Amino acid sequence: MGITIDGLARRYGAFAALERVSLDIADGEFVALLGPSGSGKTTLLRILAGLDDPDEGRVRRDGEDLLALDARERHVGLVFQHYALFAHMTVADNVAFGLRVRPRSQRPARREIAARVAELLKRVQLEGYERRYPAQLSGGQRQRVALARALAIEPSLLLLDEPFGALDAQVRVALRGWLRDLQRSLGLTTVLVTHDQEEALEMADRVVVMNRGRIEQIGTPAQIYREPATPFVHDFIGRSNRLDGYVEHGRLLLSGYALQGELPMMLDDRAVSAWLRPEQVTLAPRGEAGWPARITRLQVAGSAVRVALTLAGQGAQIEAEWSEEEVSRHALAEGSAVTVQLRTLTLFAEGREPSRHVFRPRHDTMVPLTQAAGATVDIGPWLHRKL
Amino acid sequence: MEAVLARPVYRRRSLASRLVRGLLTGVAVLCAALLLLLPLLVVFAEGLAHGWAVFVAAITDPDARTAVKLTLLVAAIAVPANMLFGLAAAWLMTHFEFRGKSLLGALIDLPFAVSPVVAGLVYVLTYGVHGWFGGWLDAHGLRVIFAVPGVVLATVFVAFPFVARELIPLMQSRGSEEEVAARTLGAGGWQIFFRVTLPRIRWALLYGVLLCSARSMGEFGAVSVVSGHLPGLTNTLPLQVDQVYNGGSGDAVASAFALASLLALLTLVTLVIKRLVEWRHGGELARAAARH
Amino acid sequence: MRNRALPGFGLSLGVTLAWLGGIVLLPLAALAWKSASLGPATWWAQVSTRRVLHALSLSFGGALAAAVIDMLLGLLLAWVLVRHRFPLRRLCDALVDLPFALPTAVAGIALTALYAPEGWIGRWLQPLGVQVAYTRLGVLLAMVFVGLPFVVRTLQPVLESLEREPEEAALTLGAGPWQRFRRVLLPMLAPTLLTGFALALARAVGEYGSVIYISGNLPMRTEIVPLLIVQKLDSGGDTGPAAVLGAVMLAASLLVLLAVNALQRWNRRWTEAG
Repeated sequence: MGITIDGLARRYGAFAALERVSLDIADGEFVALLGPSGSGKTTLLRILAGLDDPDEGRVRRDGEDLLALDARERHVGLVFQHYALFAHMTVADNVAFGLRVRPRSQRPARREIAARVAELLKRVQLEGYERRYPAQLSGGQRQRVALARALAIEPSLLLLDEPFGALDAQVRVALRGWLRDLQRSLGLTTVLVTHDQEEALEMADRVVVMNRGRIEQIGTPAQIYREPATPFVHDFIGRSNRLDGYVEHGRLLLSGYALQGELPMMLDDRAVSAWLRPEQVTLAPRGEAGWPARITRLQVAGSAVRVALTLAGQGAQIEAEWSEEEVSRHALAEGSAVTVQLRTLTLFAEGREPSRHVFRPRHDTMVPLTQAAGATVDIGPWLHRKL
Repeated sequence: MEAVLARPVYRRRSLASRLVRGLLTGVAVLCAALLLLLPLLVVFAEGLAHGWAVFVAAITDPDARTAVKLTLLVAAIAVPANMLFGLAAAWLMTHFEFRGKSLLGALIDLPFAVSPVVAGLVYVLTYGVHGWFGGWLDAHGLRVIFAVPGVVLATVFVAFPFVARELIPLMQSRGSEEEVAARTLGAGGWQIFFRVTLPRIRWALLYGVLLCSARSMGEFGAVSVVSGHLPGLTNTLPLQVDQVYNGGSGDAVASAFALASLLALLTLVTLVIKRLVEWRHGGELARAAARH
Repeated sequence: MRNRALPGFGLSLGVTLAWLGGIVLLPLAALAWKSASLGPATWWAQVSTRRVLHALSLSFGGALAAAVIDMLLGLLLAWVLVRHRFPLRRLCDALVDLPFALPTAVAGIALTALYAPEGWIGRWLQPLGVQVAYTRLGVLLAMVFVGLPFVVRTLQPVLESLEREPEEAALTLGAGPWQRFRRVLLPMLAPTLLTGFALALARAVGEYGSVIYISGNLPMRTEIVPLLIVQKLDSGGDTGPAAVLGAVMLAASLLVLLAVNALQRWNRRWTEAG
């Protein structure tokens, strides 16, 4: 059953924070809402927590209307970026808060509360810290208290709002794995809001990429990285090269060259943006054709080398990532002339019929446009189509 | 947009919660109106209760005019003096560390906590006939108490911390970095002060000067003790109000309120300028929170 | 510890100490010296008269009560001004400064005119058998009036900068409105509230101009200590009796000041690791 979000919309004045967002979350699933600031991910989280109300749409939890419930009654655990611990209460009092504010009839006995608090603190590895105040804890410890406090009410849904945002890089990485394991062991349905793609891809079962109040793509971390559904996702996740092109007569005109390969009819006569990751730009094997290019910059980044290239033709700038071994074997340096192949390009055609197509160019038949068309004008690739 | 996101509106409020909010607001507004607004309005109403003639006669009375002049004179001495002190104290308290600094800070605030009457009393004990310097002053034919110098001193005392109190939190929150940077670039002390520090604190300074002037011109208790209430000589405007009010003639109360309305007008002008400064330059004023 | 990267230490220290010494410390020392030179017998004789004891109990009792009322009223006003949006909010906000800025003598005669039996408010209270002017209630009212801005202005910036998140956290944990106020908000505001209380108390104890008209100054009933000081001075001759009462007032203000400082340290106890 899980959570069913259906057509949620939220506007603040003229600004649309959420536009008809729909999403299903399975029981026990870990979903990450990933996007830049202002993408609507926090608004969605706050609506789920009951801290904000949508203008339209519905949210059901196991068939029950979640939005009809006041935030008090939702049993949704919320962990804030800045912890939001009660500074005047000890760690134990913070964790016990949700139990102590229950109506008298549902409130556990004092001993029971103490036992529950001890158990939760053990769970977040903070035994012995009961009597400290939040100010006496480190950031990572505070966030674990906040988590224990949220878990104390036995939530059916756990919401994490940039939970590692205020932490040091090292603590952040350590907590990620720990939280992931904890979530698995509890089997707790969890929604994480983050702008950190590494965090989202590493922790979540499924990632929801959001932009300007809309969902761009929902998928597993691998799908999100390997098969980005939109130019935004390609650009936002990982490193990307973007080239503008035009499809004509079954050829892709790109930066002064015509590339052949499999292209659907619907792309014909349309402007496309071609995207590829740096690792999809490879050196052409000896004797094979490819795209002439010149290295403008070499930058060693660990075991890989980031290579900035200027492609022949119209001089498009792209980035490649090669191994250090490969670079030294070919004695590459800044200024070296090389021949590269673009392994896989993801083409996005925008406009009336948005379309996505994976294109593997054949390099043996690629030709410079000026020769192909027999013309001298070479202003932009698609300006040649009338020639 | 960010602001809207940072403070989202709870839109779905239950009827009960809206009722409670409405009730709280209503009670607060009613309190503000009854307790705060009415006293201001009644001053003008009572001042005009016996007609314009009485009003004009009251404020053009020679003693009243002398009182206005004395009030302005006292403020003209007390305000610049306290401004210079405030600047020096703020420079000292925010750019240097030294032993006894927190004690010094507490002493600067002390006049706020002292009753105005006690403020007047301590000057009587210092400069009065039986005071520490009374004999010496008398021998040299000088008078402080029951004379203008006493009025000035008492006013300086009660208006003492206003400028420093505005400047210190602001300068503390800004730190010394810019001044130190100017120093490393070769600026001298006065150059640093006039070119780096002053431009950053000018609105807070104006704000402090404003509060200081309002207090200087409106002070009653302290001045009342040291002035001797000599009409036309040592009466400031608030003292004149008091004397006319207690004068007992038929138009006494109306005349007193007519004079009081001058002071009330001054208050209004002060409040309006204060609002304008806060509104236009709020960011340059230290948040009062920094003081606590 | 001395940071001498900047010039002007000597000059600013000199000006500050000279001014502080001449204007504040020297006169206060005169008071301390005078009252100390009187001896316990004179002290006791001055303080133990029934008239003085009445005035002391009214000044301190009234100021305490006024500060409590200010704390409640100030919390309400600050809360409404910060958290609610309503017409005339800015005007209400500006009005809060009025008791600060209005000269005390003006406030005194204005309050008297309002609450006198034939005054704008007094005439409505008269039939109810409530008399404000020339009673202790009037003294209390004037004290509430002068102390109110201290509470509101102390609370307002703290309320404004208060994070909403702890309240939201409490909400998601199931706390109702009263529980959120009582268990989360009030403890966060308590130190500030007490600071405002202390400031209002200090102001109300020492207040003179706003009180003396509405009080009517009836011996043994509505006389306050500052009034007695003025009367003792005006009666001419020895300044000793006035000095004794002045010393009591001064000691009280110093205590309040110390309390404010202690409160501020208490305020920081959660925020500093230790």
